[in-house]
Amino acid sequence: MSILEVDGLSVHLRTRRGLVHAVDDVSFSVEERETLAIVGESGSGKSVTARSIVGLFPQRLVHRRSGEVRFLGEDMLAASESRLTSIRGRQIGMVFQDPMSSLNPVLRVGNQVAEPLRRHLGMSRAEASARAVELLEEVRIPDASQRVNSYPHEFSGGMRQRALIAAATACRPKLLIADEPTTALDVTVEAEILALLKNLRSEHAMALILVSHDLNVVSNVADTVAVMYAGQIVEYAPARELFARPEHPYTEGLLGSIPSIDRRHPVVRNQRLTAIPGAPPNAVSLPSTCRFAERCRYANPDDACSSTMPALREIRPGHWVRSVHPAGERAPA
Amino acid sequence: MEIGTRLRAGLRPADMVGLSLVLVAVAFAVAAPLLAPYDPNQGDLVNSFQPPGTVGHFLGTDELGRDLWSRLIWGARPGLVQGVLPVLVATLVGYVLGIISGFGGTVGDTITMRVVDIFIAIPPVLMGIAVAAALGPGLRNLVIAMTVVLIAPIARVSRGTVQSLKERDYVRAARSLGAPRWFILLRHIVPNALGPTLAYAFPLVGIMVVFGAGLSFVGLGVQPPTADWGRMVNEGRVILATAPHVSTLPGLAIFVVGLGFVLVGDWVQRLLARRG
Repeated sequence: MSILEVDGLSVHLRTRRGLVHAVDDVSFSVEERETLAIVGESGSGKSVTARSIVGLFPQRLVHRRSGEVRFLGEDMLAASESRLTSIRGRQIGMVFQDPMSSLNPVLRVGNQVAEPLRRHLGMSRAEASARAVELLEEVRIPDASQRVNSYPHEFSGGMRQRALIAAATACRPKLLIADEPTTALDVTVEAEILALLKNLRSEHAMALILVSHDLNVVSNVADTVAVMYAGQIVEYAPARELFARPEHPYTEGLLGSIPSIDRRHPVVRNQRLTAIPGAPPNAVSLPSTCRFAERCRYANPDDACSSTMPALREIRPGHWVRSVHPAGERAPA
Repeated sequence: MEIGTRLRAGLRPADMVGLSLVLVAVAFAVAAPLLAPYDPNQGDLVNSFQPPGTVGHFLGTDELGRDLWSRLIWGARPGLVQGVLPVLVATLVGYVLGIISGFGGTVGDTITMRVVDIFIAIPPVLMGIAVAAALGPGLRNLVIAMTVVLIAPIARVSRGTVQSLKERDYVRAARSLGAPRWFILLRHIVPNALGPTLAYAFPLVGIMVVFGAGLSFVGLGVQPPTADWGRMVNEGRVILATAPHVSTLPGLAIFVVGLGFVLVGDWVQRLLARRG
C-alpha cells in the first residue's frame, strides 16, 4: 500500500525576481519500506517538493499550490497547521542538509533528541532522556550515556547529523524525508550516514525519501528514482532500471558526468566524463516546450521538442520518461 | 568548562581596568555614608572655595564650602542609577517588543516598528529633555526619560535578531519535529535572542552615565542640594576660572565611570559574541 501519494503537485513561489514555478505537475508515490530518491540539480524543485509534503515552507513565499499530497490517505495540503504539527516528527521525520546549524547551540543534544518523544508520545522527562540515550546508541554515537549531556559544539558534523537522525526517527515515523543529508559532510562520513539511514529504514520498516543532487549517493540506497529538471519529473523508474538503462538525455548526461572507478557502466564505459552544455532555464520564464531541449544533443528545431511539452509516458513497465528522444527510441547512430 | 574559568579566560587588561572602575564606583555608591568624611550637603561658608590639598578637605570645597570628596562619593548613587536603570528597564521592554514584533504577525510588526521609527527619528538629547521637561525634573523622571530614549533602538535590535533566528536551520529542524509556534518561541527564539540584545545593551550603560550627567547638567535630574556629578559640573561652571576643581573633578568622575562601563560593555559583548 502506498503511504504517500503525490498527484499533480505544483508549487509557485513568489521571489524577488518574479513568480517561480518551483514544482510543476509532479506525481509519485511511495510504498511502505520503499526508498524513493528525488534527484536533480540546484533549483530543480526537489527540496520544495520534499518540504511541501509536510508543509514546511514559509507560507508568505507560496503563491499557489495545487495538486494533491496524500499521506496515509490524508490530504496534507488541506491539513491545518496544528494537524501538520502533530504529524511532523511523529509520522513523518525530516533530516536536513546542514547538521552544523540544525541543532540549537544553547540546548543539550540529548534534550533536542528527547523533545519529540515528550511532545508526541507524552513521555516524562526522565523516560525521554533514558530513551534519548538508546536512540543515540542506535545511531552509533559512542559513549551515548555521556554524550546526551553534550552541547552541539562538542559534536562533529557527522555526529550532529546522527543526532538529528535520532531525533527525526525517535517516534518511529512511517516516512523519513532526508533532504541532502550528506551534502555538507565529507565522503567517508557520507557513507556512514547512508549506511545508517539504510539500517534504520529496514529495522523500523520506514519509507525513505532521499533528496540529493548526487546520483552516486542515490545508487546505493534507492529503490526508485525520480529525476527532476526545472520543476518537473523528467524520468521516474526503479533504481536498477534507471542506472542500467537511462532513457532521458538529461539522466544520461548526469550518469555520464559521474567519475567512477567501476567503468562497467554502459554510459560511462570507455568515455571521458561528459558535461551537459548550457544551464537550466530561468525558473521565472520557463519555455512552454521541452525544458531540456536547449541543452539536449538530440533535440532539433523541427522536432516536437521545440513546439510542445513532452508528456511523461511509460516507455517500459514502471519506467516513465518525459522526452521526445528517449534512448530506446533513437535511431542507431 | 566551569563558568568562572570561562569568564576569566577572556579577560584582557582593558577589561580589568573597566571592571575595577565599575567596582570602585559601586563601592562608593553602596558605602557612601561610611566612606564620606563629611555630610555632602552640609555647607561651611567660611571654608568655601578651598583648593585641593587643603587639610581636612583633600579635594577642596565648593562655593558653599561643602566637601568635594564627600560630594563625589555620594554622587556615585545618582550616577549609577542613571547609567544602569534606564538600560535595564529599556532592555526588558525593548526585548519584549522586539520579540512580539519579530515573531508576531505583519500587522503587529508594522505598527511596532513604525512607532519605533518615530522615536528613533527624534534626537536622543531632545527627546530626553522633552520627556523630563514634561514630567518635571527629578531623578525618577530623568530615568523615565532616558528609558524612553533607549526602548526604540533596543526593540529594533532584538526584532532583527528574532527575525534572523526564525530562519535558522535549527528552527526549521524543530518545526520538522512537530514543534508548535509557542514552543519554538520559548525554546529557540527567546533564549537565543537574549545574547545579541544584551550585547547591544551593555555598552549603552557607559553612554547613559554620560548622557544622564548631561541631562542633570541642564537641571533635569537630581535637584539641589543632593550631590550629583552632572549638576556639580554645572554648579562649578560659573567659577571655573577661580576654582576649576569644583567643575572638573565631577567631570572626571563622569568620564572615569563612563569609561569603566564602556570597557565592561566591550568585554560582555565579546563574551556573548563568542558563545553565540
